[in-house]
Amino acid sequence: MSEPVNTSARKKFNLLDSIEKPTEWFIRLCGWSSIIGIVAIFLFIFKEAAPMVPKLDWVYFFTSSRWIPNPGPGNPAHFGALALLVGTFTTTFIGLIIAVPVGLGAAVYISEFAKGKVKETLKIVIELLAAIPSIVWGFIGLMVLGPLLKDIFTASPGSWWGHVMVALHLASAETGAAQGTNLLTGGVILALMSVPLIVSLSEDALRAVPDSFREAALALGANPWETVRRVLFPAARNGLLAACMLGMGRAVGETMAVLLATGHNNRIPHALTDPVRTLTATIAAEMGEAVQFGEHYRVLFILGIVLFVITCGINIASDLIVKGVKKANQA
Amino acid sequence: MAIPTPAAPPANPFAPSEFERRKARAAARNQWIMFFFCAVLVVPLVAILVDIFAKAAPVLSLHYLWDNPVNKGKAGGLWAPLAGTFYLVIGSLLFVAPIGICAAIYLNEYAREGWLNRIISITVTSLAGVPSIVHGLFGVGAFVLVMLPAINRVVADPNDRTTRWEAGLLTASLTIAVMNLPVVITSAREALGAVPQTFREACWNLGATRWQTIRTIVLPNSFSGILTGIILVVSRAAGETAPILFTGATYFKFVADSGWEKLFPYSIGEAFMAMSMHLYIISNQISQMPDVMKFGSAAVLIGLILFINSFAIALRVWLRGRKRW
Amino acid sequence: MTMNTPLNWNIRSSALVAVTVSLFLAGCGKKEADSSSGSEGTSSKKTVEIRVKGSDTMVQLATGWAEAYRKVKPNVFVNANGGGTGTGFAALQNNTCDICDASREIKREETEKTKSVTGNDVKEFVVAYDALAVYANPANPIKEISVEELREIWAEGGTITTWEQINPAFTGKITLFGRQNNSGTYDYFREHVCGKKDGKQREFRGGISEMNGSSEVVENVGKTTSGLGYSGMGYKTPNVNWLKVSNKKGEPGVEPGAEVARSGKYPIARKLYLYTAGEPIGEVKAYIDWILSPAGQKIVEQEGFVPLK
Repeated sequence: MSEPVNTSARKKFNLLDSIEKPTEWFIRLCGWSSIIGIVAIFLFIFKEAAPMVPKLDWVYFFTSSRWIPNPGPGNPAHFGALALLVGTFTTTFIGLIIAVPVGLGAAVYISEFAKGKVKETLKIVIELLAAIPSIVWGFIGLMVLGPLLKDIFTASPGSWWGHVMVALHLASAETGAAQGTNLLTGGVILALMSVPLIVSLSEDALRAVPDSFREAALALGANPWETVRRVLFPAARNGLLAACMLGMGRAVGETMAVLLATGHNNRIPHALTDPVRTLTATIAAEMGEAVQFGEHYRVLFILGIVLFVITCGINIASDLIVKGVKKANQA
Repeated sequence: MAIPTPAAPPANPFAPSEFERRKARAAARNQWIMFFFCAVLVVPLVAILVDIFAKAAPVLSLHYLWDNPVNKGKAGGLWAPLAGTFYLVIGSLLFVAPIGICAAIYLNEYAREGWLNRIISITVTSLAGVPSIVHGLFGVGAFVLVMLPAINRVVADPNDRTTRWEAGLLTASLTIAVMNLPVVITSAREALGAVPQTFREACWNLGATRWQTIRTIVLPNSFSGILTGIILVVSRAAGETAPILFTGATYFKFVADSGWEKLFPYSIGEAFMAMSMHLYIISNQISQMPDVMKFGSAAVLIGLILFINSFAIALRVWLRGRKRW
Repeated sequence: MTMNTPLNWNIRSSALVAVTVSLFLAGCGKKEADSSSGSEGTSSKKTVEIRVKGSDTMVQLATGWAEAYRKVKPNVFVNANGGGTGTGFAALQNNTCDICDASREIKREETEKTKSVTGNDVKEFVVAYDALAVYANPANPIKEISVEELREIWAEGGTITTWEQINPAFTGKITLFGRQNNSGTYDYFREHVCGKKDGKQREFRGGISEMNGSSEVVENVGKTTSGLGYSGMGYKTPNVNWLKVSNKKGEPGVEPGAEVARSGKYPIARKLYLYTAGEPIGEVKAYIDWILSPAGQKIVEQEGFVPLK
């Protein structure tokens, strides 16, 4: 008769398994990290801006372009941010006018018409383009693109090119662009920065359209371009729109590139080659100079809140648009 | 007798009509326009990069990378900013990698469906869209103005000013970490999602707990994707300027020219030099800065970023080839 | 399958943690070496740090002094930063700098605030003179200008916007380059050129490009044919001309230079100051004494400013 076999094998102690419970708690906590992050960003910026919020003349803030944070002795400070808002939106607008057609076109080409090695190479090039840091783009705008555009938009006094430029609002004076760092340079740099984002997101959107759509169009006798224009664009419409909006969000929030490339001029531009200043550039340029906890300092944080609200709004809107895509494609 | 002439061949009923030929021409033209858009994107950029490297060529050498800047950056090399960028990247990785990967694990393994997942996805997208200068402002408001005084109350001696921690590597690393968090979460999430569900189910069927499944099967198999995400974060941390402008980067700081201290020039509570800040300041704020130094600095920064990103892409392609499912 | 056993994983992860921790400790180690020396230490073997903040006009001068002083006393590290004169005073108040560079005199409210926050009086040291030069592009034939005309060009509500209003030899809209609004140079130029209207200080007009730093102004004027800008005379480059300035239109203009800046014949000359909170002691006092000595004044001259004697 054998004894009953002892079947309860003692579990081997494993260090990594024993930390399961605390690790799971850490993981749960980290899951909340992005929520904590975004709330913290808003809270801390608001904390610094708060004392100035009731004191600021908000109507003046949005309607006047007189920005005098450090007035002469005895004068009150003026915070009129209209020129800054106009600067931000005009640079973004010009950037998008260039970036959206180029981006969508490139995305269509890469996704539908390019094959094999060409497609891989183009995708890698776009990815490397996206990786270039914004300070380098600003440097390019300042040192390479700026002088080039200034040469193009220069006219000797009295020449016909000068008159054409003034008529088309390309330059303020008959002699052409005074500076190389201006609205147009800033817009082109912003376009070059947002295009990779638009291309990769649009490509994802186009790829998400089921192949059955393409096959059906081909079966009906459409050539590839007609498939793109009449079938894919409408089908991927929401994704493409979301891509463009995210590109816009990137352009609005860009700091260092516009800081170096747009010139530091706080006024409403009258021509494409006038220097401007954006919200982001103002914060970056003036923050180092503002006396801590003074009025100027707090108003810069208020500018930060305005930026934050604008970009969050754009992002949430594009997210909701894409959500519509998911629902439509599941239907 | 007349030689019979061959009859004209019958008309081809399948030949394209005028309408179809017009459409084909339009299609070809549009295709060329799309290709032209690609070229418009790629060619000027390559031209600009070649221009920058050509103008920087007189200065580029190994000495340029190893010497410290001299005479406010008008001569000498780039060692101090390079070292600062290196430490900034490591510091920010130390903070962002654990938190980001664990957040992705949470989203993908623990809270797959539901309202929490949706909200976290929205906040990740929003966090990704926050402008970099706003991250800088957050860094000032949270880390420099709240965290540093708290640390100083514990660490610093009120009578000895040199023991105070100032805005430096710690605050800048944290700011960059917060900025890069969405990137890590997104790429880690994709990497974790690429592991087939059957792997997990097999593990559960064998009696493993969720944590055991994660650490033995899911994480090792998604390691390549996570690594690619981390490398992308490295390139972002090296290139960003706005977040570190007010949270610790400085333009001018003495760094030892030789010895042990040259390899570890900065401590956590001190301001540091960084490549991106260096390029920003020498672009137009130093009088009579030789152009070749500006282009040299830009070329080194671009080279560094492109190298890191190319490495990430090559790694991704290689690891994808090794996948066994 | 040898990769993922618990033993290998443990060894690898603890090795990684050990390497990381040791790297950080190495970095922390340097901090302790610094903290063992005080700023009043008379022993010259320990490293001492002197923090200088303030005027952007003086930042190149301050770095020149810092680099030269390293050769005099290799253990003293002077960290010079810009940020504008106003930020320098704020840093003096919250004790984040030892010396404040200023390109204008301290205002009364700043003196009072420093006394109330730190408990010490400010000590002022005049270290150099500077003539604020008015720069124009070499393509511009105009070589002289008066303070009256400058007032109408730069001040809000001013009447001069084109070059022909000054001299028909040159045409075109005047492109103005100034400094950022917390700069001492900005303050000084506004006070002495824009003047007063109805008893209140006139502000600058809108549409002036606000450059971040004295050399940026000069560089931009050099690149813009219709440009006009103000900056310290030490920032002149071969790409720009400076204009002779007179007080009234029609009077002969005075070119910026050392003697006329000291004597006051140049209409827009100013003093450059160093401020400390309380009487400076130890290494800070030695540094300021060195600046006022002939060795330091030689650096002033090299950088293009006007030494005291």
